[in-house]
Amino acid sequence: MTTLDAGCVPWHLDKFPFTLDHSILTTLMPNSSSLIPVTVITGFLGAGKTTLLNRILTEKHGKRIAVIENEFGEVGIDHQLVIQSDEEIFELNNGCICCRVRGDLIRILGKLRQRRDKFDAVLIETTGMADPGPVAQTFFTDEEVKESFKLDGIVTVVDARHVGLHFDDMREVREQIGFADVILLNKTDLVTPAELKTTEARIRKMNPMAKLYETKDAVIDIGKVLDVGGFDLKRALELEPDFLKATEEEHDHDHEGEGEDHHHEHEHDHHHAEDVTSVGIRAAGDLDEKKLSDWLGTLLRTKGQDIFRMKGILAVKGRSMRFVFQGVHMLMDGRAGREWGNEPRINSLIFIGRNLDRAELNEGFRSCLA
Amino acid sequence: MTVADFTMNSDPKLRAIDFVWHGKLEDFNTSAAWSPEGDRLAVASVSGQVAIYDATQGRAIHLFEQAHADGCDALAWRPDGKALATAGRDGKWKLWDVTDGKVLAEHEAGAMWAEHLAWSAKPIGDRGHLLALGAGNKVTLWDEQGIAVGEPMKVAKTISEIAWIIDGATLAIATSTEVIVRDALDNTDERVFKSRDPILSMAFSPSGKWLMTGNQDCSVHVWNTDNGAEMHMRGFAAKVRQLAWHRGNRWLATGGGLTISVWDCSGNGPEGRTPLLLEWHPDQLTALQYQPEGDWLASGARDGSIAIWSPTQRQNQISRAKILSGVTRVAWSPDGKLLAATGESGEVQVLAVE
Repeated sequence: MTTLDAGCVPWHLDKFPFTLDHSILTTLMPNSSSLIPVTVITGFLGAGKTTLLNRILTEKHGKRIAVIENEFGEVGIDHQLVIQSDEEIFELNNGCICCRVRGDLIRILGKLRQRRDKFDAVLIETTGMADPGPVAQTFFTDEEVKESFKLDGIVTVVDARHVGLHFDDMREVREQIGFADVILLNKTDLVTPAELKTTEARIRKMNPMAKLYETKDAVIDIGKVLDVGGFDLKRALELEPDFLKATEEEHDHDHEGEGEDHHHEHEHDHHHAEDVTSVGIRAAGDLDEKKLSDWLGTLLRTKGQDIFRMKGILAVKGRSMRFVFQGVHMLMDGRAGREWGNEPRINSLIFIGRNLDRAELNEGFRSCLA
Repeated sequence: MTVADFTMNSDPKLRAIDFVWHGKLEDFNTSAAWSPEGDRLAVASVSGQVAIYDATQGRAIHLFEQAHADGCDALAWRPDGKALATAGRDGKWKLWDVTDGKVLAEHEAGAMWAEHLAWSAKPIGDRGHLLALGAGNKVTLWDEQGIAVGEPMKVAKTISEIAWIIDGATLAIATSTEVIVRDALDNTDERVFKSRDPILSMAFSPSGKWLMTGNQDCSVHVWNTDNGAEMHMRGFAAKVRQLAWHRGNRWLATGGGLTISVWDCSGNGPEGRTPLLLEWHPDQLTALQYQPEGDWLASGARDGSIAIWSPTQRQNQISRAKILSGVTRVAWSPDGKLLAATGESGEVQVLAVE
């Protein structure tokens, strides 16, 4: 084996251990407004993805939008820039789930990059069976894609009438909900208020972080689906109140069952096997920088495959500013945020993923307290 | 108007550059190809333009303004030099008469984008030279008049590159997972080289012995087609899109980051050997090409820098230049005397090393 250097280390872990003196720890996403925003629309077959897409394209917003639709896409070809793609996964580093990217998107975005002054935004419509993980990872790991595009948000369209069935049968539906920044609970006119309430509760349990909108025929103000800044740490701070609310709810919900975890799980899950869940942590107290770095590094290395999304605002001992981070699978981006000032130094974190171990995450977090 | 920076080359150890002529298209130039006689240069742009320049003066003999709506991606001169094939993002390919500028043939390629074109080096059977066209996951063959030959060949994934091997009727088709080698006309003699690393680019050595692919995971995969032996070169700083063979079959230059690696492929191949490293470009490499009949290697990078190397010499950098936007292609004229470099903003610069 001939090598130029020591070989291929998954680059996204090479930033550990980190120190907050490098206020931008990683550059998952170059911080530039010149990057073209990309919105990913996921959702199971028949949920209303194409309806939403057509709605966005026909609305008068002055944006020139390039559309990358899946091979079954139905966007009218009279729209200028529609590219069909056969979803193609590139497996890197021996098929590690965190190193999977979408080859078709790399190829198509590479071509679109050459005429970047011709459009202002990109919409990607995935198939109903698509895993959002490789789509998101493409925007954080491919150097050429990162240079010209930024992932703005993942919008998941859910069919309110049929999702009850899909929750249990379709892993893809649960993953798409788990990854979402925005969830449109669509076709609400076809269900009773009680059914809607149950569905919303289940979605909230999987993903309390996403903005959830009830829609009929995918009617929504496009400002709520475009330019949401779902992966933007600066925006994460703007959205802090929402985020805090989400972690708080998740956290309270956690407390109800404290000391009797099993009962708690049974109460809420009934007979459903909810593999996609969220774990929110909310606690006062300063964290030790070194311990935090070790914990997150180990967590991503060992559990990154199961973590879809994570976000956090943390208080680090000796630091006057918040530390904010977000991540997808093993990729993490963190930086110093706003000054704490006189506000109470409370840590808020949320993890969304598959088979998350609530007790272990809580314990891991507590071990970082200074 | 100028498209190049003339101050680059002040180092006395370097040879002077003659900026022979320049031209400008409206947007990112995707492809550049010299005619077989070397008397014309064709350049394609994502603006949809295709220009055919006179090689010595740079006069635009033809400028096809909307050769392909949404951009032209590929160019290939018919071996007699009297016609040019083009393919683009309108899903079409066209054959142009370069004397009168008329379209001789125009066909749907069978996919949204038609991206790959290659003429066979020698006539095949009684059909003359054949043009292979790659679009999506389909390869079609066409004769010198632009008439379809045989049935389309479908492969499993989107085609990343096509090439004719040596002078025969053998076609190599690369997708992200494999390189398929088959007789173009009867689809026999199929050999498949499977790759675990996603393939971006492909190059056969001029003798046909070595097959190389440049990959998404910053590696180069090598097959010895004589005995099936495989090798891997890993640890490149970026994904590898640029592969350039020296005519003598010994040297392979690879991109992938800021540094050019030149691998010695004599004997059992590059495994275990340290490549020659050519370091100078301050930005990502985008283009590499050896002179067709000489020993010089031309390279271009994202910052517009262009270098000419004689890799095995002690003072291996021969000369350097810079155009005003990122280099998209470098192309040596058939006699190796002129080098064309094209840019992201549509620059066309033709140079000569004195």
